[in-house]
Amino acid sequence: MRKFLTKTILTLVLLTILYIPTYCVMFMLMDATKEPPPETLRTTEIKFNEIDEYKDIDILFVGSSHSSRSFDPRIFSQHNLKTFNIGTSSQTCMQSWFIIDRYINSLNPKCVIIDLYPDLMNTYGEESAIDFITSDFDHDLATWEWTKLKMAMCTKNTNVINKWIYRAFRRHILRHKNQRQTFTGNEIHICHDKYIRSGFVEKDMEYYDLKPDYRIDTTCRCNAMQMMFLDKTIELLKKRGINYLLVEAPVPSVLYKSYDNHDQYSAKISEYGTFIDYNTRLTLNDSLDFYDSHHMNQNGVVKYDSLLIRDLYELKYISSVK
Amino acid sequence: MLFNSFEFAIFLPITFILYWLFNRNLKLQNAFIVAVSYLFYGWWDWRFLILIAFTTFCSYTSGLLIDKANQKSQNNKAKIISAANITINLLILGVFKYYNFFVTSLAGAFSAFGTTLETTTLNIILPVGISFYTFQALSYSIDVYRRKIEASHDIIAFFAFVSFFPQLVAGPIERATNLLPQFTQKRSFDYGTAVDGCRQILWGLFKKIVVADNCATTCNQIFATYADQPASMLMVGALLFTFQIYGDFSGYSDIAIGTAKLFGIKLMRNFNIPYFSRDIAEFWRRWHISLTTWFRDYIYIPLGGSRVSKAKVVRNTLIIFLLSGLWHGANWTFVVWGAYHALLFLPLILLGKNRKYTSTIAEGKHFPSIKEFAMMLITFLLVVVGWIFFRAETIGDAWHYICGLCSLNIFKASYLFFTYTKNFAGIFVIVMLAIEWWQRSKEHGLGELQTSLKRPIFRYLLYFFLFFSILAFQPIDTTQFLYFQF
Repeated sequence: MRKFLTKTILTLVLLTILYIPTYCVMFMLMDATKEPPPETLRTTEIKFNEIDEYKDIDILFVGSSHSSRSFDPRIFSQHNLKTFNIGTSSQTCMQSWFIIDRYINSLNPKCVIIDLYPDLMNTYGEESAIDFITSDFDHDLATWEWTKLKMAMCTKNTNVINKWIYRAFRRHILRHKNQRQTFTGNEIHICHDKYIRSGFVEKDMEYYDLKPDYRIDTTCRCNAMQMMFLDKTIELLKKRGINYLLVEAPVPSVLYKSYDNHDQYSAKISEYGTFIDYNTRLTLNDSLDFYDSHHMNQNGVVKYDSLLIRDLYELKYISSVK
Repeated sequence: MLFNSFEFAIFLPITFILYWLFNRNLKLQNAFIVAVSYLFYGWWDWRFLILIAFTTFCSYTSGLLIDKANQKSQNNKAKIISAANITINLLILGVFKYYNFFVTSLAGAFSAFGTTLETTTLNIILPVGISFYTFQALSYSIDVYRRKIEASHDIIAFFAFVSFFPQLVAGPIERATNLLPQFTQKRSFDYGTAVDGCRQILWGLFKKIVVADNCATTCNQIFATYADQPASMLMVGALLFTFQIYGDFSGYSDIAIGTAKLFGIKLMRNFNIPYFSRDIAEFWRRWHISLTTWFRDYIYIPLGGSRVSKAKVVRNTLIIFLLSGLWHGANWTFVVWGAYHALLFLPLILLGKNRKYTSTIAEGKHFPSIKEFAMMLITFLLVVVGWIFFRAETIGDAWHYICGLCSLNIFKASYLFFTYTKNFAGIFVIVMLAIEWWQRSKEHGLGELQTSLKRPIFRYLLYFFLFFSILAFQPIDTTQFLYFQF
């Protein structure tokens, strides 16, 4: 028995030690790692290189692309509100927790708006973890590497951990970095998107032809890991006395109607705090207010943000910050 | 808990060490097996533990009552108890797995005649592995009734027999005659068996994670968009599913058997290089052996087997293949898949050629003869066609898929071809087939490796290749084991 255990452990250690350099060298030669789309990669990278310029903000937005493409700082600044949007592609509660935990002291927000997209509540955040892992940030490289590793481990996905190994090797051993784009004024043009300072990604498109049958019926499910991170986030915000609001950004009606248990989902999320589902508060046109099957165009964003600001006043979230 | 999960990677070593620490006390060791098996199953959904416990308890009690009746030569009483236990088990299976299927099929049949039937379907989850443990529990009470084994008086050993975690959710479907005595005897740790178990786990993980999951990525896309795909891609999709289902299910069986070996338990072999079969009869002797032999022993032979009139042989063959199809799932596609295999099998059994090939192919040779190769290829292609019915959502989809395969654009590639070339699935399929061919006379792909690869350096290189592939080439959306749904 002892011989078996010793040999098995030694073999596993040996195989793991050999695995890491072999993986890095092989993937460096093949350059076969699957990257997220360039625009997604760039916006996350730009956002987290920009974030260090911000301190003592009024509102912090977190969540998936439904957040990063919905909250326009220019609309909020008209109300003298200083905001930052740290929503990133497919960001789940797990990633939101790590980011809030990391930046809560420096940003010192007075209010946090957490966007919860039902489809992501039953994932382990693999896509978003890869987005962070493949982004090269300028500051606090070592601590960022640690945060990225923690995100990778939470996904429990070998593929994501592999990406972390390769990217850490690429950054720290090979000293390779992604090419960086610079701001022209307050914006950066990336493919068909416009990145606006303070973390907003804008898309101007006036008409979207949504196929009515693009989506089959779906059941909203929340896995234990995501709920645990949501719980931790809220606990942290409560501890620091920060107001928070849970929201669901408007999506095309075809997508929204595909959920067969949205009422149950809303009830569950409401247990964690004030939850506003803007699909029930705001009537938007699937073709005129959206640019794809998920995200609002600037027409929709203006309507949504205006209503949100009004709600924040009514809830006295804004009066408490100003 | 999945075999390819982080949770299992922690669960297995802890369970293994604690299990052997309890080695001095057999009852305690069996109780530990029951506890960890229930933890393993409950990880998915603890509510269904009640169902397993109930099934196990029914079979255990019926076994005792049948044994008592047998001893008093009360044959009718024994028959009634056995029938009652079978009915209870099949009723549970029927409600959870087949109720909605039968109700909707019945309503469909009525509507075909212009009558509307008011039906109510149940909104229930299919408990993982219900068909596997139900069949295992059934085999016990039938064997006690047939006096093949004595009823177990050790309730803990019996619960361990039904719930033994490595084979609880996807087999092999063990017989009480093989597995139950292993829980009533003291087990001792054997270094060679444990090492062989580790090798088999490694081989199973390779087949599941590297072969099956990589095949699944492209295969799912092709089946989802089959109407837009050229014949060449439909062919690729059918081939990928053929290797996906084999890698997935035989991979699971290898991990289960290998894990059991670590606990000093020997499970039956479930797959024996089925894609190297020379005819359909040989394929069925090599594919999902535990289920095939279950149907043979508990349905086919009691019905008379092949030692009855030709008409009855046809009836018996059709029954077991249709039941086998239905066992896989509550959908007509599975029934058609069973019927298709019955049609391929019937000529062989009627001509008395169903046991023509019982030995290992090309025994003692490196390569098969041209005739053997041609027979293997024909059998393989026939099996591939059958898998289209198995994989498709509806019979109509399967039919359209096959029609699409027969179109003239067989040499046209689509955008998916480029996706396919990126994920290395084809290369890994070739590696798996090559290793299985090389090791075809052994119990599994890495069986008796010290005799096949005498130099340790080569063995370690092979381990490293498999270990590396498992960690490096895992697709991001790792699928569940396909056979869990059965």
